[in-house]
Amino acid sequence: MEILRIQDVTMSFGKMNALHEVNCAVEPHELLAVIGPNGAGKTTFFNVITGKYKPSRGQVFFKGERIDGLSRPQIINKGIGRSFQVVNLFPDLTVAANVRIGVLAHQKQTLRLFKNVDKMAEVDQEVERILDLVHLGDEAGVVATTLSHGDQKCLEMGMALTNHPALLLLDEPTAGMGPEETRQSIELIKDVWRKTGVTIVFTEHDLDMVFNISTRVLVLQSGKLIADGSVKDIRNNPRVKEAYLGEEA
Amino acid sequence: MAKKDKKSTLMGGHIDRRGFFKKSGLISAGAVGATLFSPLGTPFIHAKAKEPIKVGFCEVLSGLFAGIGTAEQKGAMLAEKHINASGGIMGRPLKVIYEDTQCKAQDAARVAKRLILEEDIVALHGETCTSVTKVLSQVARKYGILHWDYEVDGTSAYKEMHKLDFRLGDDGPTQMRGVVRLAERKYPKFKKWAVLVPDYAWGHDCLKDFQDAVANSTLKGGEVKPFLHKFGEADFSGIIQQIADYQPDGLVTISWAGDMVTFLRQQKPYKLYDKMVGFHYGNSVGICKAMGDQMVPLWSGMDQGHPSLPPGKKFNELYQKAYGEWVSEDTAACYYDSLMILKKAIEKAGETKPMAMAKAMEGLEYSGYAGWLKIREMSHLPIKKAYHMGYMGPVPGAPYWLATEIVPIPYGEVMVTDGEARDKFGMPIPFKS
Amino acid sequence: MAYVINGLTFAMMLFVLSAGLNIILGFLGVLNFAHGALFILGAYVTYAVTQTLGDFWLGLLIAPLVVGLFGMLIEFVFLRPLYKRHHVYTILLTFGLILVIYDIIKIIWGSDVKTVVTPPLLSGSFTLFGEIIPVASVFIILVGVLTAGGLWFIFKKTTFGKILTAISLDREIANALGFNVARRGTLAFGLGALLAGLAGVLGSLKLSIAAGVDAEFLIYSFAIVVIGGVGSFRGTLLASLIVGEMSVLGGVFLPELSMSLIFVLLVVFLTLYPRGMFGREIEQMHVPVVPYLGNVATAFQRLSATQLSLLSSLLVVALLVVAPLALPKYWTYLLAEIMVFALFAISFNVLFGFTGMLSFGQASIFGAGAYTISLMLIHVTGNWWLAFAASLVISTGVAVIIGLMSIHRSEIYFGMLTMAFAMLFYSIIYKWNSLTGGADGLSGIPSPVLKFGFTEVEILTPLANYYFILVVVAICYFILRTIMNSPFGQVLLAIRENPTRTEFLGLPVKKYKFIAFVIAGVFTGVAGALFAPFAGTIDALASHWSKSGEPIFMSLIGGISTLIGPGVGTLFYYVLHSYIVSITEYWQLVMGSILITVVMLFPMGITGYAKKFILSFKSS
Repeated sequence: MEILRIQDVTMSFGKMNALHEVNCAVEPHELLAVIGPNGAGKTTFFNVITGKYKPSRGQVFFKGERIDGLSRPQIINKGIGRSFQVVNLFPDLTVAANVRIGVLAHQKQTLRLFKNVDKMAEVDQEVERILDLVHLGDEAGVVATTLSHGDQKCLEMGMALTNHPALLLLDEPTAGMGPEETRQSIELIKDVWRKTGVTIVFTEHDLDMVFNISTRVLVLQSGKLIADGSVKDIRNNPRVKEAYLGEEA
Repeated sequence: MAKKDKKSTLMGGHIDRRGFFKKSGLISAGAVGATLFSPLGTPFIHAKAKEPIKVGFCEVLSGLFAGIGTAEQKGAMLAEKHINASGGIMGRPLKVIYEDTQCKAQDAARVAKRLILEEDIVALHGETCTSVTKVLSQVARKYGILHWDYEVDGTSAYKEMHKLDFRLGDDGPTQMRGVVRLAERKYPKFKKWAVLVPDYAWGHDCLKDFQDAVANSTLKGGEVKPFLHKFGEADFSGIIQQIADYQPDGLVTISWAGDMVTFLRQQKPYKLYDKMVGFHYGNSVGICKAMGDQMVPLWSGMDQGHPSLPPGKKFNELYQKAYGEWVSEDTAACYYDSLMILKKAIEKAGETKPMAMAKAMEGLEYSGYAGWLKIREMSHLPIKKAYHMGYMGPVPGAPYWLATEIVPIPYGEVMVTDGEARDKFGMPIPFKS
Repeated sequence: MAYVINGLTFAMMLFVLSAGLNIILGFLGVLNFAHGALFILGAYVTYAVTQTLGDFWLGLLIAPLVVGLFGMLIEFVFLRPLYKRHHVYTILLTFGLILVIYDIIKIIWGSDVKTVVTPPLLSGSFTLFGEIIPVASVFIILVGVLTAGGLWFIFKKTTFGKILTAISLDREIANALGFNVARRGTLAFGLGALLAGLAGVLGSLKLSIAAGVDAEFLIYSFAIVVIGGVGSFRGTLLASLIVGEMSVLGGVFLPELSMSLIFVLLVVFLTLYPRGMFGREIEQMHVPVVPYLGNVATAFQRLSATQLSLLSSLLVVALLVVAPLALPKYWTYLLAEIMVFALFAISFNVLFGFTGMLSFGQASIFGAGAYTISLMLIHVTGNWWLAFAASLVISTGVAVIIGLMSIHRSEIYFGMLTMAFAMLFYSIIYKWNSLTGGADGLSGIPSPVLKFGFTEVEILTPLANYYFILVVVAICYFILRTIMNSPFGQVLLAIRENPTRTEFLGLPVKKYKFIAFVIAGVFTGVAGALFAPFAGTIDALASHWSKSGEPIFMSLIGGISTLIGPGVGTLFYYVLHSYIVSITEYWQLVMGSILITVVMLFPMGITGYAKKFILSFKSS
């Protein structure tokens, strides 16, 4: 069963269509890239899925269930995780504390008022597991704002994984990174993908990276889906080339 | 900052900074308190000199009513100076400690307790705001301290009175009766009365007092119509129009100076006071001073300390010598007398124990800048010779309007009798404790 | 008909004042609580000019300029450094400014009520449709209209105005585009202050002049800016007319309710139409509440509450147990009062320092607790347990109501909404004389008598009161501590740090905020319930909205990043206040200056700096 289905989704803001009749279905365990020139609607695409906007027309299905119109926490709790282009952490808390909130949420412990949060072994174990998964095991006690940019991105991903999502949405995971950090980031994404069996959909500008790791690529332009296929197909697609005319390919 | 840290660590060990701050803060606070405020230190210093008699004056020294409180404080300070200049009380110097209550009950409770517990006062005085007077009464009773007040109070404060509690001012009913007695004499044909009522306890109490006074006078059968305004009203226009429409014979006002000034200014175009006769309760000096030449002729009750009356005139000269200006409140002279009355009571008692002073106060007579009075034994309220109503007008040589016509009303006609205090206003007499 | 004209006069005065507040709020995002003080300052300057130079018209010219320049000075020296911080700092700074301005007025002009001599030109009146119209009223209306016209001209036609508008819509971009945002901000504040001063000149024609007269005007102008909408003078004008007329007509026909009605309107607007009638959203950035504790290497090994922290809490309790034996009697009494207000501040900080919600409504909940227990003990029962339970129920109920309605707004709107509720609540208490005693309040509240089966413990002496309060406050503190160290407490921290991210972890933020608000409300109510029998008296001012500023200030002094911080701050504040009040009559000036200094220079508070020290100490 497909994990995510975007059906005839149109998203308009006033007269402008950020997304126009977009249709796609995502199969489990895909590593799907969504690309397109600036203003193509990539972020809106994510925002519609995660419930920031209700689509003007069309529906969004997750694991066969309709999710458009639900509140964001409801959608997230169905098994979707998201990381952000601009790092979105809890700046004053430590790395472990950052991840712990998500773990507590997933383990449905957040309404416990009288339990000492430091004495929850299961929670601590899970936090450790996730930190190891995103290669931050040694940084558990570091305060989040003092981390390097790359490590912050790892933390982003870690937090997105806390609710054991079936679908992981990564918004420009390598944004603002140098070549070494980008490489590490790609390694991490591949690692997580392989280890957890999660389906990953990510948006990217770095086409090298995209062609490197994706199993499938979607191309948006001005809100319309202009191409959908394997890396090879997209590489040779004339429409895609035209859309990127003037951009570094 | 870093250097400082290093020094501290050199001093060794784990210093719990947070606890240290808290601990040292408390201890130094305690040390400061002990040395500054407790009498523990004084015996060493005062071994030779006579120990001062300490009295606490609670007043409103900040906020809207600060003008009244500061003027009264000045009157008291003058008395304090004169008492000490003539040898103090029973050879001991008098020390008056002034505290600001901000006209707030809770702050008053706190400063009163500080005066009692830290300063060891023998007597507590105050204040302008009835709600604070009530609280001071209670605190004084709780700690067994003498409390007395020479300011106008609402009768709602009577319930709190006790054996160590005294009131020397002309309270609400007296003032309202003064208006009615004046009207009986000068305006016996008046049938319609408008009363401008500020919407809080004092206003409502006075309205009731006025209605009762009318009902028990030759003016009974007259119509009394209240016009409520909120305290601190910025726009009286609606009320002014209503009063103008009502066309009363007399307009009675009981609002504090600030609201009265606003009212008087705003009614000017409507010429209310050309069409009706105005009667203000007491405490008009502040209004006349603020209004200057813009003042409106009206009747006002007057404390004997009012500069229009002989004793008050004398006090005014004293005040001018000391402060370089005329008194800004009628009650400044009252506060002067208040301190003098305490002196007399202490001298009569021969000591400063509260019960002895209270006993001495009962039946005490005093003649001063606020006229003659005698303190009644049962109710601890005053008897005076007369209550004066003055018609305000410009007087050459005076910086503000004074009484150009004075009508003295025998005090018996306006007094709150002991029976009334008990039956009508709930004063718990005879006082048990 | 006359009511309409007079309402119009009042409305125009309010318009000039509120337009100034609108400019400051719209262009600088600053809730200027000192606006009323600037207004009355304008009246005083007018008085000074008319007294010394004998000319009102000169006063009309000079006063607004003086106040405007004063405003620019304030903005440049005090406010500018605070913009990049959380808005609580600018709000507290303006609180401090009120105190300072009041005492400056007292020093220069004294406390007596003053008036300005109406110039002969404005002294008369004429009749229109059989109604008397004072010339002064027409003058005020005229000035109001001219002001409206002038503002329209400035903001629509001049470059200066257009730039200001652009800046207000996005400061960052404007800065990037090369506009000197900072300097124009100062000019904007100056313009706002100038309008306040001008309103003061107008006011001097109609009102008595005394510091404190402005309090009501501040509230009105605040309501007008909200109802009309920030950034829209059209809205300010219309709202001024509505509020002005409501006030006059309300005063005539519905005096009991007139003030409350305006607050109800304010609450309605903030809840349903936060943009007001014509306005826009106030631009706010989500700024961290807790200033980050510098560049330290590592935090503690453990992730949250440490053994050290527990130890120091116990040490504090031990000290408090021992204190009465070492301190003079008055300090026992004062310390007991401090503990009650420490609980008040600590429970407030659960919302602010831990969850990031700046609530100005806590005074209402405190008042609810205080009044309920008082009324119960006076009229219903001598059983303290019963009275206490009732007071908890009512104060929690108030917290639930305020919480339900306020939780949907965030940042500055949440603050304004909670404040509006506080004002509404205060006006109800003030008016409901028969129940609450109105402004005079309730007195003779009996001391607690605790019935345990067949025995009774009467809490009469200062010492007994002290230990009683200590026990209750300590229990409350440790309960709060447990809650803050729980998973729920972690969620609150997360919400403070990043509400968006919290939602993306699947947590409905509003629900948790509401629960936090109610929890804080419970303990605030306890503080109120402890206070009333202890003080023996309670009055309406205990629930005045300005009282809500105290826990904020105390939390800031003590440190908002720790649970005990506000308690330390309360101790510090009370000791300081007690001392200052007894040595000078100008305590407002001193306390105001201290407030300003702390806000500007010591934002982390005592425990914040202590924590920072410990962190750096441990890492070295």
